[in-house]
Order: sequence, then structure tokens, then C-alpha cells
Amino acid sequence: MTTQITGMGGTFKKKKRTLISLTHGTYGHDDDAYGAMLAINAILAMGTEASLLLRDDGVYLALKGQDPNEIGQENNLRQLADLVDLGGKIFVLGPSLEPRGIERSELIDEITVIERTDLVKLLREHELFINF
Amino acid sequence: MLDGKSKSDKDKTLTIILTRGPFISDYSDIAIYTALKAKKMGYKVNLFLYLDGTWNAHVKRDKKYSNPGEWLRWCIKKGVKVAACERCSEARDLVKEDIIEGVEIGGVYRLLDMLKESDKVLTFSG
Amino acid sequence: MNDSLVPGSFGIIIARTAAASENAISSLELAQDLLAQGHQVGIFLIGDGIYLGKQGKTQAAARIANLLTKGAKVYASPEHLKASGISKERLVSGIEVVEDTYKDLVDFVMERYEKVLSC
Repeated sequence: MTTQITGMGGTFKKKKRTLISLTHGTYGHDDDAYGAMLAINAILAMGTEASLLLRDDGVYLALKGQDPNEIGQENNLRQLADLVDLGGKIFVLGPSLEPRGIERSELIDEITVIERTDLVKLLREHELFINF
Repeated sequence: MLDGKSKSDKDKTLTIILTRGPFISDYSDIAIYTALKAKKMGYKVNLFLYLDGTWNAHVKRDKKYSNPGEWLRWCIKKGVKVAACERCSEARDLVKEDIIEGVEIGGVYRLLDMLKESDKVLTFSG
Repeated sequence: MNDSLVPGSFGIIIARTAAASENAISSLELAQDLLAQGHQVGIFLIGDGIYLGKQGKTQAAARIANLLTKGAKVYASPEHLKASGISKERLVSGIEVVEDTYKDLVDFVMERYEKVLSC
């Protein structure tokens, strides 16, 4: 996503980085997770920078070993793998883990756990915000 | 040296993403009223109906009470670009004949086109 | 709202109650963190978010009061306030009830803050 900035000396494009924040990551509430993954992977496929922030129940999305085959759902880990292949970054909000009894070792390797204060830095680094 | 402003105020674009259906919450109302007001104030406005938000376009018939369908028709009339996610619509068996005239059914790349031109994005979701 | 857009400023729109979603309280926490790191912050309470602004011994009220003392602006939608039955006098002191919900919301989003998040 780019916008044109015009001033003295000509024009240049300013790329807009998108942060998608996901607060639902369980198969019982999968529409939001699926919708978020579809959107972010499409953004990345277009060559635009995007990051995924998992917070609140969204952190469940990054649990290792998911197999929703018997409940007839697609495995969210595949979408996350696509995201990583496309060059996207996955952040997990640390304070959302402990109340859910989740340890870092239970999450996929390709994530970065951040603290509340890191969230401000993440917001500074992105221009558009989509919340699921 | 830049002047610090990217465009004149009224060249700015707002995109609103709505993922909730009609009546279950006031997200539809807030999203659609915001879109209408922003358009009236001179901004370019996109409204993308995503996930269950696609159901809002299915509210076609006139009713004796205020409803998202009526307001969506007003949005289209006033020049808000309204699109519904193709995949989400297909999953819900919503085809062109089922939805309000003027709502475009487009893939998620339609959303990306909207985001590309946006200065601000609002999501009514969750 | 008359101030023009401030670089590095954040506007946060909250449309849910604290019980409906952790996101409501965590948005207030985020606002506090942004302020602590030197950013200007505004909060717009609309829809069910209006209930966060009610005075009382709640985490939301305490955080909003704290935000206001630290220089954040907190706005409330008049029509949702009226619908809720909460009088203006029962809002946390310092919350500004805007004149026109959607006009002021659009102004908040498009002109007042450099970056805007909605929850």
C-alpha cells in the first residue's frame, strides 16, 4: 500500500505497513482467524509489508501440534506457515500467554514474543491497523 | 523539503471493514453511519463487507424500522464504494441476486485495492 | 475538535464493554503505554464502549481517570450515552461528550490523530 507525498523536489511513494491484530485463535471462533490470515497473506503476496499480532485468545493460533481434521476445519498452522514463507512476521503478546497457561515452548518457533511496551514500537512501525 | 501534509484534507480516503452481521450488534450501524458521515464531509470512503459482514448486503426489503440494508443503499447512492468479499459471500450462498444492487462482490484483493489508497482504516469486528 | 493532526499521535476507538472483550481494557492499557512513551493519545468511546466511561470502582474508570490526568483526551458519543441511561454527570470527570457523534468521530479519525486503531 503506497501513498504519494508531494513537496518541493518532486514526489515519492510512502509505503504503508499493515498490522493485523487477532484476538481470536481457536477453532470454535475460527472465522475471524481465517479472515485475518486470508487478508494478511494476500497483502504479503502483493509484496507489501505486513505483520500479525496475536493477543488475547489470538495466541492460541500459534500453538504447536494442531490437528483439526476431525472437526472438519482447515489447519491454521498452514496459514501461518504461508505467512512466514511470504516474509511476514508473527508477534505474540506475552501478557496474553500466562493467563492462558501457555508456555513459550508450546508455540511454533516462527514467532516473536513481545511485551506491552514493545507494542508501542510495533505501532510506530506500522501505518494501517486492522483488528479481528 | 516536504510540506508535512500528503494531500489536501478532502483527498483523504477512509476504508471501513465490517465483519459482523446485521442486528447482532451495533457494529453495522456504527460502521455504516461513519461511512456516510465521512462521505458527506467530503472524504473518499470504502466499505468492505467481510466474513459475516456480507450478510448486511442481504437486507434488501423495506422495513418499518431503521436497518443496515436501508443505510447501505443510502451509502451506495451517496458514492461510498461498497464491496462484499467474494469468498465469504459464496460460503454463505449470497449471490448477486441476493444482495443490494450496487454492492460489488470482489475477492480479498478488492480489499487490498481499498487499503492501498487508504489514509485510515477502521475495523468493526470481534 | 479543532486541533490539527499531531505527528506521532494515536487515536483509539473503543466500541465494547470490558466484559465483552479483553481488548477494551487492553486498549486503555495501550493508551497508557503510548502516553508514557511520549505520544499524544485520544480515546473515542462509542456504542458499548460508552459504559467504560462510567464512574465507579472499575478498572476501566481508573484507567480512564489516569489517562485524563496524564493528558489524554477522552471523548464520548452523546447518542450512545443517552441510550445507556448514564448521565453526563456520572461519567468519569474530564470525559468530553462531543456534539455530533459521527461528525466528531470522522474528525477524530481523519484529522486529529496520525494513527488510529479501532477495537
